[in-house]
Amino acid sequence: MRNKLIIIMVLFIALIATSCQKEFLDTKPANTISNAQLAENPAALQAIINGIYANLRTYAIGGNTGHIDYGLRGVMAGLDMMSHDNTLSVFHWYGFFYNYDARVQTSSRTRIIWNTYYTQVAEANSVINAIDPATADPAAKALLGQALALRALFTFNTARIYAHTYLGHEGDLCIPMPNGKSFEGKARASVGDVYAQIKADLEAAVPLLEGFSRSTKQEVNQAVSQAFLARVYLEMGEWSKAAEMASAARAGMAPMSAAEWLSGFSDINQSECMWGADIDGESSTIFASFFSHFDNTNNGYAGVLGVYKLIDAKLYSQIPDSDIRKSAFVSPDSANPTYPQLPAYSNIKFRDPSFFEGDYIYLRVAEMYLIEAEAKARSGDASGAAQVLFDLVSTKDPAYTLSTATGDDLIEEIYLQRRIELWGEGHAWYDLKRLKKPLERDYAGTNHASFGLFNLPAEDNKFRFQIPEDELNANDAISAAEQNPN
Amino acid sequence: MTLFIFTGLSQAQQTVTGTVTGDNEPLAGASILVQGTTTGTFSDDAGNFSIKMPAGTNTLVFSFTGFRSQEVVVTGSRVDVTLIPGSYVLDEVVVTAYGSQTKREITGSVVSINSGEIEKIQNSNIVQGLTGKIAGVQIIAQNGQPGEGPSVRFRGIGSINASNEPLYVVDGVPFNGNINSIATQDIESMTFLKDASSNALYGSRGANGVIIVTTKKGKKNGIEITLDVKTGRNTRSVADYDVITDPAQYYEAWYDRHRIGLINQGISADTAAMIAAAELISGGEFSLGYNNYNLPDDQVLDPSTGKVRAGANLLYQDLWAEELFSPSSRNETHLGVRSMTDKTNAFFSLGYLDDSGYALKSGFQRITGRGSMDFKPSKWLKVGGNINYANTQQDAPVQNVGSSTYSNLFSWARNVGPIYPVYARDENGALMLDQNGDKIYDFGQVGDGIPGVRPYGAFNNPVATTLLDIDKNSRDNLSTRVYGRITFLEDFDFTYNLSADYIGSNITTFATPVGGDASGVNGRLTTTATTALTVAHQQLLNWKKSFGEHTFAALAGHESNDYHFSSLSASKTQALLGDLAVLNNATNIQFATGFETDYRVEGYFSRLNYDFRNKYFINASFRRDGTSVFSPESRWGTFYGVGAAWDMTEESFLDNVGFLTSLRLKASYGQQGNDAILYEGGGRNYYSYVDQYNVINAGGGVPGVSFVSLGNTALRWENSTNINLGFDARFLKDRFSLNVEYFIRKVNDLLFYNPLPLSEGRGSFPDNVGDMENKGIEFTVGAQVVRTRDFTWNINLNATNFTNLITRLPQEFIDDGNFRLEEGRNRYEYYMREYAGIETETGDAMWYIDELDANGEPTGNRLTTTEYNDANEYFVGKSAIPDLYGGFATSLTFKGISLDVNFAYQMGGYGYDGVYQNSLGSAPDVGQNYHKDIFNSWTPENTDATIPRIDLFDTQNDNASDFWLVDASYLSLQDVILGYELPSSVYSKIGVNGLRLYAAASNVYLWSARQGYDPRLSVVGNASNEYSIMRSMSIGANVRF
Repeated sequence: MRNKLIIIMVLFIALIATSCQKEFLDTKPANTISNAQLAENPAALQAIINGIYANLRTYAIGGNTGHIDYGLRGVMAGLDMMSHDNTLSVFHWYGFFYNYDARVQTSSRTRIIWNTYYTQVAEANSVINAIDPATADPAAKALLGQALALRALFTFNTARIYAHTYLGHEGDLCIPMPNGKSFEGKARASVGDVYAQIKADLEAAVPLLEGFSRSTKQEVNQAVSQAFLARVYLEMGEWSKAAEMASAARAGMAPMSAAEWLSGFSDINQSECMWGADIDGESSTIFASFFSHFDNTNNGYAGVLGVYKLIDAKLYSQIPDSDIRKSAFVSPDSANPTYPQLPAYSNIKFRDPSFFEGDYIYLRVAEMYLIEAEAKARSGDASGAAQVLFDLVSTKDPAYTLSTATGDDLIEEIYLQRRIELWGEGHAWYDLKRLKKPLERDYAGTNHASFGLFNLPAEDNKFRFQIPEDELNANDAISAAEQNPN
Repeated sequence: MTLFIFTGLSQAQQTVTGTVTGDNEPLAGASILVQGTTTGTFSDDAGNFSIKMPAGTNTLVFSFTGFRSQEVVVTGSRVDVTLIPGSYVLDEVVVTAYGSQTKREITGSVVSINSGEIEKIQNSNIVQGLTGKIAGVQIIAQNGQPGEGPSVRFRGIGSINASNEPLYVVDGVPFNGNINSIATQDIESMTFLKDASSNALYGSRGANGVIIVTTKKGKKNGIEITLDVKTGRNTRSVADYDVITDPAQYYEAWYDRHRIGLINQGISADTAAMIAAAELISGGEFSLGYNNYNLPDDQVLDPSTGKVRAGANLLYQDLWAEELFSPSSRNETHLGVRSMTDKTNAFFSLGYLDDSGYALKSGFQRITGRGSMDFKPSKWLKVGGNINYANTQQDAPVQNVGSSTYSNLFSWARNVGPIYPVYARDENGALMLDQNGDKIYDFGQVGDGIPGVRPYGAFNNPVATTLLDIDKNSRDNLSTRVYGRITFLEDFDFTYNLSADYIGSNITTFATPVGGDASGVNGRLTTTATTALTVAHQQLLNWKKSFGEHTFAALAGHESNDYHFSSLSASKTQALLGDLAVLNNATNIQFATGFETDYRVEGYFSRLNYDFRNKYFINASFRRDGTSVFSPESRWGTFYGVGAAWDMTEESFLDNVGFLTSLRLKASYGQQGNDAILYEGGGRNYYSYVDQYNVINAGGGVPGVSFVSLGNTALRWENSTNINLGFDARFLKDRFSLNVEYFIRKVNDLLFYNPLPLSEGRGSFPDNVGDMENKGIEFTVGAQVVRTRDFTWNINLNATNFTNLITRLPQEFIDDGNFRLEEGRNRYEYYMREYAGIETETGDAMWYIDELDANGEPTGNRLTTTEYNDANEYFVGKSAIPDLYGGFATSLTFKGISLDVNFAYQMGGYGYDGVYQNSLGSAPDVGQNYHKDIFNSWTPENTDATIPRIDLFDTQNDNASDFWLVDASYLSLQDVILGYELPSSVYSKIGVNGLRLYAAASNVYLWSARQGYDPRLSVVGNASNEYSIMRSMSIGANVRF
């Protein structure tokens, strides 16, 4: 009996002794990394900021697998297709932007835009909440400045998509403003409140970025934050601040030459590029990329499938023949000698000779000239405005003369130059809204496609996207009645 | 069998003698036991016995295998007993959790399948071949690609955001490999554990059911060699959707879509017809780009008739479906050797399977080698083990299966307009040839020197790219099980099991430089090499002892599982050679990635089985498990199961019910866990308690991080509580059987990704939130309708019905695609816009919308609208859950000939037919094909059609609604197997012991609500462009030496 007991005890001990070490179940992620692993790293916040820059040019960042979901440049392109400056040759990708179906609550397009911006707002918030500007060292201040500037940009863009412009709509419902501290859904704040935060973020960011020397044009530096702020001031009608800030943003930079302007807008090293994304073989999103859709000469949707992106015929006709920018589009009168297969009005502005490794330019010096000119014109400084405009346009059109127009005529002249200069760069639709202009596609001699051949009066409901249905379903703070009308 | 302890100490009071008979013969070796004591004896060859009954006893219990035991109250000195035939089946031994039991002893819900049935299955994945054969278990094919495995669902829905897949156990140890690496012929038995009492011992991972696979060991004395050879043909089992295949019909359909779209935009009917005819092939936004006829582009279609002009000659047509899908071969050979002596037994086998798919370049090849040895060097020691090696090669060129990308062959075949050629044609419609005289593939792109730009999928030619691309998926599977067992102190044994499952895989894809996506970069090569290793240790201490009528069996054990996965992947472009699929053939690095994953589980467990008089049985088990998936504070869970069974036929009050062979009642209750939380996009989340980030290249090699998912340190096991009540009745010597089981399966603390508002930018938060309940009933009936020496006819049928109910959710509702989760409803209730018919004037689709009162509140009435976006979403009263599923089978034998026919079925439930929807698409890609039902859609001339106006402009009429739901009921003829066991006179002279010839067909036919729609391809019956199920027809021979 005693032997029995001994054997049983030995085996029981064996059983327990072979049980594993206490740490056996403590595994560490070695694919994704954990917040704990990240927190141990002093460069964590820098890594998050770097991550935002990368996300902005990443496929499916908007939570979709459509080939239009490739980040910031993709959203800019989609909105351009909703203006009347761009047209599409066949119904294909971007067709739902072009025909305005993208804006309805059930569309994956509105969800892509919403996700693209709000996921990156969350990243920025995690940096903003982690840095106390009072005690931060210069490196941390620069990170905070970048995070604030980025949050402001994302919020500003979202506000401009889901609400009308600021002036005259300050009390309208705008967008929710998450803080990254709790995950409870936030209500739609008023346009006034949203813009107040955007402005505050940027006004804080500009001094925080003082002295920050960035290593690549992919990062936001002080000039870029000033450029964002100039845009915001212009939207909010703070003309003198807008002019001042636009001027500060472009300090030390000049408009590029005509030859450089015609070089394809696919190189971040282009002298006018203030902020962009440097695309290489690894970061290329191949067919789901800007140049796949907008370069009519490349091996992408536009070039090979013939889903050409064209300029509006009326806008084209307003470009003087002496303006080299006219040669960025195929003339309706004669085939382009280099690209004879392209139909009339096809853009050859965007050209990427590589296999979709063309860089994205998000922000360009020319825009600062145009903001400064418009702000000056609106604040009554017509001669100052005309001079700034001349400094820009004369580099592209040798026949251009200093404008003598004043008032609305001058403002319209500046607006026309904005449309010509910034065609396809993500401003056209925002401008329609900011300037309270109608959408005009259906006119005699139009080259717009049948599936988008309609006009909209200024500030029509259709100029506001509907908040994605999924947001309403998951956010108790926004009721169905608070949705933008269809 | 009960162990008897004889004692010579009892004081004999009375000696009783008699005989035991049964089936009109004396029974030799029947056991006779004095009830309430350990005193017993056996009958002799003539059935006679003599026993001394101790004082105070008066009842004898007679029992014999294959007969019901009988209690007799002794009144004199002689007792003659005739036993009633009972069940042999109940004495069959079944492999169960960490051991084995006779069917009699099992208190839970267990179904086992033996090698005889398994050998008949020819699917490369064994589980697939069991569809419809096991009550309560749904086996959903999902995919017809050879080598792919099905989804398996035990008794309803186990989880929402965690895996619903059962645990596979191979030779006693949880298996992380792919079941398709085991040759069907190497399997001795499979056991399905469905309830808590049977599978609670796998506590941590048993919540979704357990499938135990036991491989063959040496069996017979001497040496037995078995050779099985079969060869056959694979074809597509289910005909494709009835899409347009005739060029003229397609031109007419396209013309008409353009025409009625123009009319809808306010253009006069005549003008619309003229424009649509003139721009049919060239000159417009919607022009198709290719002219298959010998008439000028604007003359092919006659606008006055809407038809291709009479006299037009078709110049060419290539059939994509024929180029992409064609019958292929299936060959399988298996050689097995079994031997057994007193001290050793051994099994060796070699197997080869070449299962080619009917889709271009798809297939599965498997080479297996298995060895199993057991040694018994002494009475108290047994050691042994087995090793299985399998190399599997899967060619899976059908990328993005289920999606509608152009590279998906199934999508392409049904969606490309039937006018577009595979091979380039010149202006006159003649084949263009290259300088070698070979046909040239037409990629349909701009500027390739071939006339015509194909608006549908230009730049693609899946016939060409599939043939020229290289897709190799090679896996080396090595699986070993080694054990040592010592028996000591008579009643104890201790077993140590060590197992390792290793999978090394190499997946290489080479996108051809010749055409398609990668031609712009001269080919793209990607190689991913992974290794997965699971090492498990088990220590099991068993004790078994009988005290007269009481038998106890106890188990205490410990187990650890350590899974380690690593992956290395790189991609390069710019290849030099077009056919060399190694990275060194290319030069421009695109990416290089590598990562590792660890998953560990540790558990302590114990079990106690008790039986009294072979009549009452109790099984109780307990397990405590820790998992690395949850945080240290919440990773341990406690699981248990208790079951009881009562064999009523052992009671004397049923002794006179002679037709009853056995009647067992059983009940069980218990709780298991599930830690298999998935990422929302699929794939297991092994680190659910931490926030996770990806390290990414932020450009120029600078590291950045990108948020992936939120973690939750409070996340804990999802719990599944199971109740099982049932009975097993067998009649007339096992001739008829009926098994009925009622189950309740409550899932508490559902692992769930609580969706956060999108504006929070963090996706969702993993949490234990809801509760769900499945209640159901399953029954299985079996009958040997004819049972004679030469002729037998068996019929089997099983059916399961269950209802699912969400009993707790944290918020009012959660949307999940076409479903909405809400308390008081089932998991798969469709919530979507509800189709309200056609506005007959315009042909627009209508949907329902709430009528609002003056305050904007719904009145309860519903109106209709033609504005899709305005329409409200509703519960449409349909669910994806079937009312009934199961299978039935019949088996006939006549002398040596046998015929087996198996069916599987599902009744009720609705699926969303996205393929059909897409084939009746509004504003389609130019050149996209239509379903023939397009001719039943609304036109100005056919205003009472059942399908709304489908034209080239509208973007609403095909939108998602319940219009696209389809009845998911089906009946499938799973297998037909005809066999002939040759009489021994034919082969005995040539040293052969047995020879069976057979012909087998699997996945023979499907009856479903719509041609092409196959509800088996998705758990919820959704149709997408999956690899359609494959039919295999083989002939074979099985020779035994």
